[in-house]
Amino acid sequence: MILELEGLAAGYGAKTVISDLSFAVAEGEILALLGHNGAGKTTTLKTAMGLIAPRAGLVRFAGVPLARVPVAERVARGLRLLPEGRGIFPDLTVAENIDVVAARLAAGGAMFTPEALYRLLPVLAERRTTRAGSMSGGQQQMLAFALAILGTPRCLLLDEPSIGLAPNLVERLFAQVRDVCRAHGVAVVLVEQNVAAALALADRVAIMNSGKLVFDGTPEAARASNLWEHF
Amino acid sequence: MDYLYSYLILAEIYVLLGLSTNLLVGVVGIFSVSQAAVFGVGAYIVGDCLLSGTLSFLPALALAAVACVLLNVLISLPSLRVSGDYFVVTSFGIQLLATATFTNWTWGTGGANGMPGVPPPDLFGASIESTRGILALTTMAMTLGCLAFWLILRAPFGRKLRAIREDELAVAAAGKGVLGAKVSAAAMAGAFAGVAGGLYATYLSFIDPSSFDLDASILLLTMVVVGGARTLWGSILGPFLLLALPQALTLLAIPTTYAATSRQLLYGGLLIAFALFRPQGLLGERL
Amino acid sequence: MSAYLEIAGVNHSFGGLQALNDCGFAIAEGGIACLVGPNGAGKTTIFNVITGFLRPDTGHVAFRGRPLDGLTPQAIVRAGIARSFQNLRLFADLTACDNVMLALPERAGETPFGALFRPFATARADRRRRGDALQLLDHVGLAARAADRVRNLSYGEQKLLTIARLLATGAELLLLDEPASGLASGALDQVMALLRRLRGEGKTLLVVEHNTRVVQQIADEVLFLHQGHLLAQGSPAQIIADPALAEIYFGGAL
Repeated sequence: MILELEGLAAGYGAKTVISDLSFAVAEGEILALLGHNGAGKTTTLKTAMGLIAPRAGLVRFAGVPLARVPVAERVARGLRLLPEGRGIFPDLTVAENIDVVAARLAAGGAMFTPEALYRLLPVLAERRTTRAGSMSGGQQQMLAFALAILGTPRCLLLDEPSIGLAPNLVERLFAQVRDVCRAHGVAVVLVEQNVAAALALADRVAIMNSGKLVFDGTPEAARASNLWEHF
Repeated sequence: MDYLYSYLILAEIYVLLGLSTNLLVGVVGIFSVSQAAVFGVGAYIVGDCLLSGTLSFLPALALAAVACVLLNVLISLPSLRVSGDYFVVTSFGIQLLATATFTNWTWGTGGANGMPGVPPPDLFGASIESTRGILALTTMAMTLGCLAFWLILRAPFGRKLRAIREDELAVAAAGKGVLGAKVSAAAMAGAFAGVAGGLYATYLSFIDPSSFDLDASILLLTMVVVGGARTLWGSILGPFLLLALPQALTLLAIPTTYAATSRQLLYGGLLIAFALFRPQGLLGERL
Repeated sequence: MSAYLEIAGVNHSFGGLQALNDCGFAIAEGGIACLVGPNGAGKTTIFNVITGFLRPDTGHVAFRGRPLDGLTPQAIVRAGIARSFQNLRLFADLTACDNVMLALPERAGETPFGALFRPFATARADRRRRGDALQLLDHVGLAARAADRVRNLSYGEQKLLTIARLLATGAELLLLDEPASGLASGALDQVMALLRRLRGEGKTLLVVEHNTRVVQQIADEVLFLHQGHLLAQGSPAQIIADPALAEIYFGGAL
C-alpha cells in the first residue's frame, strides 16, 4: 500500500468534518473517493497532504507515518495534490509554471522532466509562451495535471479535476490519468462529483457520507448498490 | 498645576475623538483613517466663527457639529459600496485632500501659518478665560459624550452596530436595515469630532494643519488599539495614556531636536506591539 | 387559488453562466420540501432570488399570492420568509442570546434616538426581548449556552442557533441552506428532529440538502433542480425511483 489512512479525524475550528476514516490505496491503483457535497472528500485529501493537521489517526506513505513530515517533503517524496479549482499560476506562462515547479522536483532521473511532459502533453508544448490564465479551461486543467505529475509522483490526489470541463475533455483528461497511472505504477485517489465517469475509470470505489466511510468496494458492487442510500 | 490642567483638557478632548473613532472603526467597522480631518473641520469652523464674531461659542459649536455630521456621513458613504480594504484607501485619500485644503486655503484657514488668536469659549455672554473654567467645560463635554456612547452600546441599536461590523448580509437576512444604522453611527461620530474640534480651537487659541493631518488620524487609531475597541473604558484610557507618554519622555533627558521623532517612534512601536501581542487593547476587544 | 410560494419563469445569469433557466415551482403550506440537484443546479441561487438578495434577470416570486419582486431582503423577512446560510453567518463575537435578539422584529431602542433619549424604556423593552430570545433558545435546546459567545459553541450548537435566529424573525416560511451538512450523527439527529418539530408547529420549510439520506428521512416532497430548471417534483420515493434523474445526479449512465 502506498497511501494508508487510519482512523483519521479532521476539521476546521468548531467543525469536525471527517471522523474515524480509514482506507488505503495500492501502487498503480485508481481509487474513486465519492460522496455528497460536504461529505468530507476535500478535507480528506488536504489532511493526507498535510495541509490540515489531523485531530486523530495517522497517514502512512510508503509505509512511513507522515505525522511530522512537512508538506514540501511529502511532495518531494511523491505525494501530490491537484487542488480543487486549478492549481496553476494564471499570470505566468505555461513554461514558467512548469519551470517554477520543476526547479525543485524534476532533477535528472525524474520520471517526468519538463521535456517528458511536453512529449506527453503536446498541447502544452504548443502553448509554452502563453499566459496560463488566458488558456481554455481544458488546457488549464491539463497544465494543472502536468504540474501535479512533474518529477517522480507515486500517489496523485486529484480533487474534482473534471469540474467545468466539457464531457469530451473529461474523457481525454481521465485517459491521460489512466495512462500515467498504468504505465508508471502511480496510485490515484480521485475525488469526483461525476460519479459515472469516476466509476468508469476507477479500480476501486470508496463512498463517504457525513464524514464517514459508508462503502468500499469495486465499481461493479457500487453500481449494483442503491447509490441514493450512500449519497 | 497649569501643566496638569492642560494635560487633562487635551486628554478629555481626545477622549471625545477616541469615542468618535471607536464608534466608527471599532463598533461599526468602518475603517476610517480620516477622523482627524473631521476634527479639523470642526476646529476651523468654530475658530472662524469666533474670530469673525459671526456667532458666539455655543451656536458656533452647534454649527461645527452639524457640519461634521454631514461631512462624516458623506465620507463614510463609500464604505456602503466598497469593501473594507478599498475603503481604507478612499479614506486615506480624503485625509490627504483635507490636509491639502487646510494648508492651502489661506483665506479660510490661514494656511500653513495657522489661525492665531481664536478667542476663548464663552457661555451665555460670559467669556471663560481660566484654565479651570475650560477644564470644567471639557469635562462636561466628555461626560456627555461618554454617556451617549455608553447608552448607545448597551441598547439594541449598539448590538445591531456590532452585528453589522461582523456580517452585514446576516443583519439584512435577519430583517434589519443596515444603511440607516451605519449612517446614524457615522453622524454621531461626526458630531463628537466636531465638538472636539471646537473645544480644541478655543482652548489652544491657535490651530494649524499639523494637528489634523494623517499622523493625527493614526494617533486616534492608536488610541483605540491601545485602549481597546468597543468599550467605554478603553476609549477613555487610550487618550489619557497616549497623551501622558510624551510627557513621560520629557523626563528622560532626550534632546529637543529628537523629541518629535521619539514620540512618533513610541507611537509606532506601541501600535505594532499591541497589534501583535494584545490585539484586544488594555480594556477592550480586538479591533 | 394561488400557491403558498410560487416561483415562475425565473432566469438569471452570472457573466456567461446561466444559473437559473426558466426556473419555476410552487410549494404548499406546511411540510418540508427539499431542493436537490447536482452541484451548480442553482439551488442557492434560487434561495437568493426568493429572499431578495439577488434580483433575477426575469421572472416572478409570489408568497401567499403577493408578488415579492423588487422587495429588499428586510421587506421579505417582514413578509414572512427568512433564510439561513450554508456558512452559518452567525455573529461570532456576540453571545448566542444576542444573536437571537438581533433577529427579533424591530422595536423602539433600535434607533439611536430611542437609545439616547428613552434609555429606561429601551432597557425595559430589551429585557422583555431577552425573555423572548431565551424561550427560542430553549426551544432549540440551547438555553444553557445563552450567555456564551458563538465562537465558543460547537458546530452543531451553531447550526441549532442559526435555526433559533430564523425563528426569531417570526417568519412562517423558513429557507434552510444545508442545515445538516458537517454534522456527525448525534447532532444530525438533533437537527432533523428539530426540523420535524417545526413542521409540527405549522412552519413551512424549504431545505437545500446534499445528503440524500437526510433528504429521504425529512422530506415530504422533493424538488429536483438541474441546470437552473425544475426537472421533477414528487415524493422522495418517486424521485429516487426515476432512473433518468439518477443518471443526471450521478453524471451519466452507470
